[in-house]
Amino acid sequence: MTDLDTKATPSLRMREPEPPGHELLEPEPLWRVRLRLMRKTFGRNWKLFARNKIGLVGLTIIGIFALMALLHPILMDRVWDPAIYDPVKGYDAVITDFVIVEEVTDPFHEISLADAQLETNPFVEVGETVSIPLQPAPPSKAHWLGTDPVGRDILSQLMYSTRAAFALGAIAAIFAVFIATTIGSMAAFYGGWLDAVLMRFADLVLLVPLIPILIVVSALFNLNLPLLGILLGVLSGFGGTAIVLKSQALSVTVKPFVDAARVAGGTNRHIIFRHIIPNVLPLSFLYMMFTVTDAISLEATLSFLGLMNTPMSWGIMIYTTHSQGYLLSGTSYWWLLIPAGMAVTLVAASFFLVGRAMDEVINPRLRRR
Amino acid sequence: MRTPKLSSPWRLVIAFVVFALVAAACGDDDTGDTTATTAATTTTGGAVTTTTAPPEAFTYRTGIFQDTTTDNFWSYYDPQSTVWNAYVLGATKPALFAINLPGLELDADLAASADPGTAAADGDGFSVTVPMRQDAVWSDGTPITAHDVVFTAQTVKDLGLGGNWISAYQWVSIDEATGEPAVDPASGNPILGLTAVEAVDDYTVKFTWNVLPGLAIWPHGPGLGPIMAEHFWGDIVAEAATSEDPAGALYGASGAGDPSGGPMVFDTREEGAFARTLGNSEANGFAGYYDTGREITSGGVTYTVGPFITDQIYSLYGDQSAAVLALKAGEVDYLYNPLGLQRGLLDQITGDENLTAVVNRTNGFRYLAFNLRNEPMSVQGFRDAVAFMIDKEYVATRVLQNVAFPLYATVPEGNVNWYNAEKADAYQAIYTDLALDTRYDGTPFVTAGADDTLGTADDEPYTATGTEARLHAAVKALLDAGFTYPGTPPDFVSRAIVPAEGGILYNGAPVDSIEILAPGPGYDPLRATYSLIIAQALQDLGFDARALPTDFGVIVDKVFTPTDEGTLDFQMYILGYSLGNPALPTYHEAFWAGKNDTLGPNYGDNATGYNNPEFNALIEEFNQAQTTEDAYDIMWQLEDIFFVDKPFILLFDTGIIEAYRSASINFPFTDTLSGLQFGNGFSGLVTAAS
Amino acid sequence: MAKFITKRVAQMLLLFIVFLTVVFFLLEAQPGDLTQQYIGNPEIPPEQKAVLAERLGLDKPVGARYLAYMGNFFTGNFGNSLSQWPRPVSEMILEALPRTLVLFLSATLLAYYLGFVTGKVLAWRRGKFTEYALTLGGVGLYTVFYPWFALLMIWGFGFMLTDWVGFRVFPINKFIDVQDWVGSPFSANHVFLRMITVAALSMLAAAITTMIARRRLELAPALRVRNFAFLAGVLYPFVYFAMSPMRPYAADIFHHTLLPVMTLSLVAFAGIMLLTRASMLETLREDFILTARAKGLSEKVIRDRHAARNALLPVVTSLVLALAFVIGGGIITETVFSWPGIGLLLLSAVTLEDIPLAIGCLSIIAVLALFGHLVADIIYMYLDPRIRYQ
Repeated sequence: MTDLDTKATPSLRMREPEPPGHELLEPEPLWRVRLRLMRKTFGRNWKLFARNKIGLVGLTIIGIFALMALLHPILMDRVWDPAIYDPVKGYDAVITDFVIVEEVTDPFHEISLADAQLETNPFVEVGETVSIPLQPAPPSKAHWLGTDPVGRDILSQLMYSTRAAFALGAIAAIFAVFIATTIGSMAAFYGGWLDAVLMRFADLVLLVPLIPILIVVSALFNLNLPLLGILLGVLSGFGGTAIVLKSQALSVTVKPFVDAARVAGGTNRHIIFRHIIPNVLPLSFLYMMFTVTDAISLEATLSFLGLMNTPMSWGIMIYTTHSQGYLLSGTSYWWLLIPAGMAVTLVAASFFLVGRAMDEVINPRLRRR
Repeated sequence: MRTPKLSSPWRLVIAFVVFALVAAACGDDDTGDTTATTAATTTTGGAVTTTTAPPEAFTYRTGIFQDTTTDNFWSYYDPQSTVWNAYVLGATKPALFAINLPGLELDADLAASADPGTAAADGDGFSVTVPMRQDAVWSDGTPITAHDVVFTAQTVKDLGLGGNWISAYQWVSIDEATGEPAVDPASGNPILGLTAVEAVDDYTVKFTWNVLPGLAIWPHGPGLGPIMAEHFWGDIVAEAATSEDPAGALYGASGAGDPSGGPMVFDTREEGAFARTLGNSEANGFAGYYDTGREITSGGVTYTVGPFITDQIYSLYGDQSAAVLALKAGEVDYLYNPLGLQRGLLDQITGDENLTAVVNRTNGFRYLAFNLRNEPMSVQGFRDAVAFMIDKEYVATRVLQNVAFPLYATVPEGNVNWYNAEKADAYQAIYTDLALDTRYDGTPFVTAGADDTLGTADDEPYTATGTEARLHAAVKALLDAGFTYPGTPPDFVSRAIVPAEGGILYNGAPVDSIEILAPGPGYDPLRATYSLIIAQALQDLGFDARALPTDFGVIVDKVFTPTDEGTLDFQMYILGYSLGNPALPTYHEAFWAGKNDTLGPNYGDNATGYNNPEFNALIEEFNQAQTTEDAYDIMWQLEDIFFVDKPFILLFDTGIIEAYRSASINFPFTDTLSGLQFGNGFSGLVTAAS
Repeated sequence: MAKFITKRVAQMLLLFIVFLTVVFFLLEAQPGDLTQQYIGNPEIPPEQKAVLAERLGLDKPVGARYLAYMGNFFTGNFGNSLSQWPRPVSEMILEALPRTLVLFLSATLLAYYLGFVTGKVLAWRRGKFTEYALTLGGVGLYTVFYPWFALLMIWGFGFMLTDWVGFRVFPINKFIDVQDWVGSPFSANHVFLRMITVAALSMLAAAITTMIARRRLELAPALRVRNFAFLAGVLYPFVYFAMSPMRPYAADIFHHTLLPVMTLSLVAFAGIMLLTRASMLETLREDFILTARAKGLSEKVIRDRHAARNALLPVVTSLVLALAFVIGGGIITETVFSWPGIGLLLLSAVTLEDIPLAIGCLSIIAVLALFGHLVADIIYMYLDPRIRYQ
């Protein structure tokens, strides 16, 4: 409240002679006040957040994956040969030459005709030398997580896909929060038919299961990552997130400072943008986290069903394993299935955990008894 | 509040009941197996055949990956012509002639002799008369007669059936305006079609056409068309004819009880689970298959016709991994799949001594196509350059890991009767044996003299081969065709291509960017990878090209559906064709004849817009050919032109890998074009393993 | 009460019409139609393609098709499938629906019941190890990449367990064992429908008995009746099928249902559990809980009779969300377990560009979701006196 007081009496102080070394009495510029307050709030909130160990774990995992995402272009540029390590076009395999013989005596250099035909193509004949690549190859020094059925580096794919997943999550979350905050605030502020229409619509969106709808959409459009991100953002923004944010906005609308602003002659736009939206924003950020979780797992699911058109993602990695027939081979090809599946699960879970931890910060009622 | 305590023992009871039911279900599995075995033993005596080693009658258990959709053969042959329906229903209908596997020779089925004869002038048209064998009966004992043939052909005409029915029984089309037979607008000649199908007597059928039919029409048209039983379908067809949508009404009818004229009789299908057919044998209460016990020699293999099985079960599996596990566990004997097994499953099969994996050549190709309506694709030199730049051998062996093999002619090597090794090898040699003494600008190739470290101070001339020769040949083709490089042309330095800088011009003007459509990596990683490689090659040549691996439906839409303005705007695309009847390759007409332009009145399959009068004339000649030898010669002339003009560049094909349980079943032969699935899994030939 | 239900039904009908409209125009916007499937087949003469398009009604204007479709839909006519021409879509849906219903109903009920019970306990054990373990496990299950999880379940329970025990405890694939059904006097769907009907009827009987007992009896005996009725309701179907000639077939189907239902409910259960926990935590701060404690009531009574009942309200509301989850998860379950239900049908319809079938499937899924929504509303009304006595 001190800030308000000093602002209220500027003329009084100006008349007084300025005592030397008292610059601090000078009213701080507003931006600095805001920054200081923000820092203070952030510090306080961080303490609250840090009390939640699970949330911290989530944040750490996200950090690790973010590092991987950032590292990938650098590695591709500086360390890795794109011809080998490119997640989509790269190729590397230990190629062994075998001579086709009638009777195999040396299994390391000879191969029977039947096996050679199965491994390569039906045109090979006895006496020819065939090169048979080892793929998918198990983890090695060159490929820490091995290679996939088409000889591409799994680690590189994993890192590249992280970037794609974060980008997708960001697109979805930004769209969702932008739309939800706007229509939530509008619905709460104006009420009446606008509120009714928007909320009925939100009900409808909420009602329809996302996966079937997206399956159908994938047939209509060329479903790639940006489109999926926008679609998820819009659906989430118009659906569940909008409802939650509206109720939050509604509780803000009835606060005294909104009335005060109105009495002071603030326009509707001013009130919505200056008072309501800033107060809804923390909750919006919370829902961003949940949107990211949804986006990441939905993308992986659609890719798994073979409906996404994207060069590489965690879902595509599992789809490739599936479509090449390595899915039920047990643990012998673990590197094809475990890293990608774990990545989807871990990152989705981390965003969810961070969201929940933030929830406890924002929603004081949830704090420890 | 005693109640919660009370419920605890109850919960135990529930748990016990659930467990008991599970146990019961497991127990039932066992009893089910035992009964099946008993049944098999008891029927063994009934189905003994006259072969030296009497094969044991048994249940042929197979796996499928997509559900069958109909029990109605009419419907299967038109709107529901999926391979899965073919696998189940394929062995239930006779025809006048048949193609024997694995040799792909034409043989008699219902016809009295294997010689189909040729059509001769007869009144206004041309006709052929076919005597039929008189001992053939449907599975219900009714004789199969010429009236059944007439009934089938007449139904196709009267009910306006489409799809494969039209290919089999193509009636003459009548111009609605004049009431006369329709004429080809381009040539003014009448369009060929059947004018009459008559039963001369009970066992002689006569076909009449308005124009002299070529091989594709006789015998490869009605001669191979399935024949339906009039005594079963007559009333159903008559009723359907009176409805608003006669074809729809017929297709909607139930096929339960439809008599079979093949080795197998359709029995039942349980949607989402399985289908079942029965052997057409007396042991099963049928009249028996008229060909049972016949010895056939084809492609150097002699085998006896069955059926040797009591019944066949087609179990539906959701994916191949699960099906292969079932194969290993002995739950199924053979897995149907038109695409063959995935490579990842090979390990599990080759490691199991009870299973045998076989690989066969296929009848098809995957290709790169150009839109010849737009520049630069319309420029011959451009297409030649692209052909030079695509190193099929390298891509197939190194990038596609030998799974794919390069193709140079549309006829696959597996099609023994039509393949011409000399021609195909000559096509290949043009690229693989390419050797150049001069660079694209006419100067000789010389070693880099500046490389003094090796002590070769002098420039020494040499002959370039491989990638270097290919690049120079490609650039030369481009320059000769009117392309120019405003900046640096591409070059080959230190065993690597140095891409062109500053782009490329055609007749002094910049070239539009080029988009190569290809199936996405999920649908077909091989073609997706190939598209990236081709785009790279075009970029090396200075073109603004990019590969667009995309949805299969999107490609089909862009390539085969004209825009509202009536244009096709794609540039290049990669797709594949699986070819039909290997005994007579007729696809040249469909894919590349000028009259089948997708933008033309026929709305055909020729999406590239290829239109070469010489080629078109040869197509007509091919259609009129009366002997296989003539057709063969003409077809290879077509191939020559196709190879030079390059509306398509053939890329590669893959073999088909299949697996069966050699511990329980035995096939008379496994080396056959497109694999065992092409013979519908040999239901009529398969025997129990000894 | 009747007024409330009528109002909700009317609202949902309206929502459904809006939904149908949106979906229809979405589907209309897709590039390509059935004729293109025939393009890849060189065997079919070009002129036939136009005939085909005409016969399939693809040449009619969009508006006419829309009106006809809306009209047809409410008379139960979904049109004919394009990929399995001329099979009616309704027939295909009816064929697949029972299988989806079994999966859907059993997974929802199981997940709901388990989720609520565990969530309740979890909230009570704030800060204890159980909470951390279960919460973390719950979050893991809630956010796990579901297809991957389902595959791991198949791998673990289908293969590892089989190897370990020596016989197949859980079938891994499909909904029946083909060998057992060859020559069966019943069709699988017949048995399926009977199973659903018997189970639904006995549960309904149990619910009605409970309700009557509640009105007529004291609290304690009423509770006993409730428990007994519930047990009888669960047990009766087992008894029924043990006596019926369908026994081996019903047992086979039941056996195949176990793993997919288990997998789907595990994942759906996590969401419910987390929500119940959160809701319980909020409720526990309410004044009446303090009052209850002050009265000296036992912890268990406070938890079960006071807190849980109130905490159930938001959980019921979330049933809607859970329904969507189960439906979406159901599609994946059907794919992974080769379970030929509506989800698998939708997936194949979409790949084959079979517009009528895709609309049919999506509509049925929406009806399912709406119906679940309605049931949730009715339960809510039953639990919340503020609405009941409005």
